[in-house]
Amino acid sequence: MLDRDGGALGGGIRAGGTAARVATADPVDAIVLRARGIQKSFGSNEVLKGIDVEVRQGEVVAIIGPSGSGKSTLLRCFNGLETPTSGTVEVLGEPLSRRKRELAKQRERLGMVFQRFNLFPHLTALENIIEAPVHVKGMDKASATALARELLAKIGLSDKADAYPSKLSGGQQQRVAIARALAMQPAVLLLDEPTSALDPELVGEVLQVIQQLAQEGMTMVLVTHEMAFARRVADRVIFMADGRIVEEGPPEQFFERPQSDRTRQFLRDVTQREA
Amino acid sequence: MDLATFVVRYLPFFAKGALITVEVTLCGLLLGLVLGVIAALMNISTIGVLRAIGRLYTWAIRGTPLLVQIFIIYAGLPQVGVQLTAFVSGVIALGINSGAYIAEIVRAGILSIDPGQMEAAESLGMTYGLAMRRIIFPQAYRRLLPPIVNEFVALLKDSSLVSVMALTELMRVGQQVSSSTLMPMQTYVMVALFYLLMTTVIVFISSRIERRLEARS
Repeated sequence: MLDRDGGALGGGIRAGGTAARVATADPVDAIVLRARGIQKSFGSNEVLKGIDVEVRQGEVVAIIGPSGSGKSTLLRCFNGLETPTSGTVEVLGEPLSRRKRELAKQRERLGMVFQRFNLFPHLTALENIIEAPVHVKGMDKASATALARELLAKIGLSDKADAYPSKLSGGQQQRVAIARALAMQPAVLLLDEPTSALDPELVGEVLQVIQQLAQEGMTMVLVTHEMAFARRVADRVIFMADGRIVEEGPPEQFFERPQSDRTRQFLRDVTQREA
Repeated sequence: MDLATFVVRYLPFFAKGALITVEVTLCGLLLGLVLGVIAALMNISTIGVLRAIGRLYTWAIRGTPLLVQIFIIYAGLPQVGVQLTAFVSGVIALGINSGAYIAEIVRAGILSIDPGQMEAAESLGMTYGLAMRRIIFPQAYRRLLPPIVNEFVALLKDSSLVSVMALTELMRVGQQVSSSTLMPMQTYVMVALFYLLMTTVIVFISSRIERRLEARS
């Protein structure tokens, strides 16, 4: 489909470092995530009706669309939290395994950030971040702690290392959740409406962290309702409605010259709601 | 024999019986915890065979009287060639019985944890077992403590039934003292007081632990 153009454009638009990385990588290896013919039904309800997506290394893809369009389900198919009824998901060229142990191994490379953060409430911020590196990867505790402190500094929460999630604001919790995912050094970060559960005044601090990651060349797939942010940070926007991809393209094209009526209507509705 | 003489003479016997009661109950509870956790994991398993076995266990045990289960183990097993001491028989009977109730407690405790916790753990590459051990159980066990203490108290009282196994726990001591003194009223009031003392101590200790856990979180 138009992924190839999208990817190339994406590389061109963003910071030079990323463009260079995309250019030097082997073109086949550069596809981090590939979904083909994803179809998903819950009972008789067909939520996804055949989705093809490719995500290239260093690319930031924003998935937008009305609620109930299947965006989150698609994202959850990407890391095996949902198993597609038919179709395949490949991560770094390897299809997601149906065997639990192999799937767990593959998930190490698939960072996930949830709408409701899902931090571990019985662990401090720092313990949340080192949990998987130590107990999944087998990293020694000292190195993991050093890595966690680096990440906490990056998200501006060095002083909250020993705080339990219940003592953190929603925005702080989501930043820790992002750091927790990053600690596994994932090949791609999947973000499922990361700011939807936040009070409006806390949205900015989370978006700022995501934007910084984008600038550093982190590959990301972001399901979001923040149109302005999607436009600013994404290399490619995918618009979904009724379980299908209706339109996709670079953000300026998507927002300025939408091709389909469905997209135009959606953008109109969103602008009205925001106004 | 006046009451004072009775108390002075038989108090050591009651105390010894109470100690056996505590021992058989604690060992039974320990076995029950192991069986209960295993059965709970089976009951929520996605593997049909395991789920069926787990459910069969809780269904059969919870649907039959403990006294009948005791007789099956104490009288029935020797008939098929399994010889056990009275104490071991008591522990097994109480363990198998409490395991079925603990399974329901543990299952409810695990299911009370937000499913997002398991999703987050699995998204980080944890296997189901590791996620259970590191993420789900540590959150569940605080919620499990109060109902498991209730089960402990219930089991301590139910342990009086193993007196039929000729295990000289508190109730059995009571029967022996009663028949030799012909003072059943004094004897069984004494026995009741010992049970009351033990259950009160358990509840007291557990509420202290609960408060400590709450203070920590």
